[in-house]
Amino acid sequence: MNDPRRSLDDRELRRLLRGLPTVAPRAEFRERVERAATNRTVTPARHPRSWSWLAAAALALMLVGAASWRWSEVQQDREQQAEIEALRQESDRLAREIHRLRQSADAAPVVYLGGTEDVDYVIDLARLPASGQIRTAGL
Amino acid sequence: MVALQQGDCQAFSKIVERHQGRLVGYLTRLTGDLDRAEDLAQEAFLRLFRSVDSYRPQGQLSAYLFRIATNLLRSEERRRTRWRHLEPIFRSGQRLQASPTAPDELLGSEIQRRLRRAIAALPLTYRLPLVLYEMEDWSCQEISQLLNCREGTIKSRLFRARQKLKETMTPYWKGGTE
Repeated sequence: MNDPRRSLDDRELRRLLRGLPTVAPRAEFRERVERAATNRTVTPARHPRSWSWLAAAALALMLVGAASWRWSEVQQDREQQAEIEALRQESDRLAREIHRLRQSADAAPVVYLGGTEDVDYVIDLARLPASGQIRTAGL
Repeated sequence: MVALQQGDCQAFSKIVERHQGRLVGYLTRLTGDLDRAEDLAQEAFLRLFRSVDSYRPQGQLSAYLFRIATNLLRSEERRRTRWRHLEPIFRSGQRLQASPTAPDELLGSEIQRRLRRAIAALPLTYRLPLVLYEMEDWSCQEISQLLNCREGTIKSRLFRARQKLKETMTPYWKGGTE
């Protein structure tokens, strides 16, 4: 009678392992190996493939680099344009303000700027030079 | 090998002829897969062919071939393990098939089929000494030289490999009636 609780011992395991049938290579195996050896001798496929991959990777890297450089240039141009435009608008606004003040100068040639209990600061618009003659203070 | 170094093209053919049986058999036992075993054996022969100029006879050629094949298998198993970790990310729901693909007529009886699967499921560190010692008749010293570790380590791995196999196979073992 078989005892289902009995476990394998080393001797039985070894017998089982050695009893496994040997698997032989297929009949065409030797020819396959010889063919592969000949092919690799005549045209070593591995190196050209790896070189072509390397070249493609380098080219892709160059393209990405050039594209990102161009993009940053365009961004810089845009920022400069936006800055110039903002300055232009500010200049226009100031010109309009001076023009408005000039018009109101006929009615009230003196503009009160502020002051303390002792001194009042005023500007006499009639004595203000034309916009072309104004010089900015050097810093 | 000396003849091959001297440019005898037939020598390579003779080397393949002489060693293919043992090498493919060894690799089939390790992988449980004839296709994989033949691919690895082919690569091992090709590496030998390519290294013909630098080859220095230091012992048996078969041991040298086994060393190349074992290293190839180790690298392949490492790649497979890495892929097994990454696989769920790339493929949802599909598992990598690790089951043997040898033709049915080669698989033998049910217990032999299960034993093949159990061997293939062992970690490679246990599988290599087990197959070399129990099935290829290598000594512990030879295995330790091949795997670059101490004999004591090989013996301990052999013990663990046997334990694992016995645990797996005992439910199917019916006291020697197979």
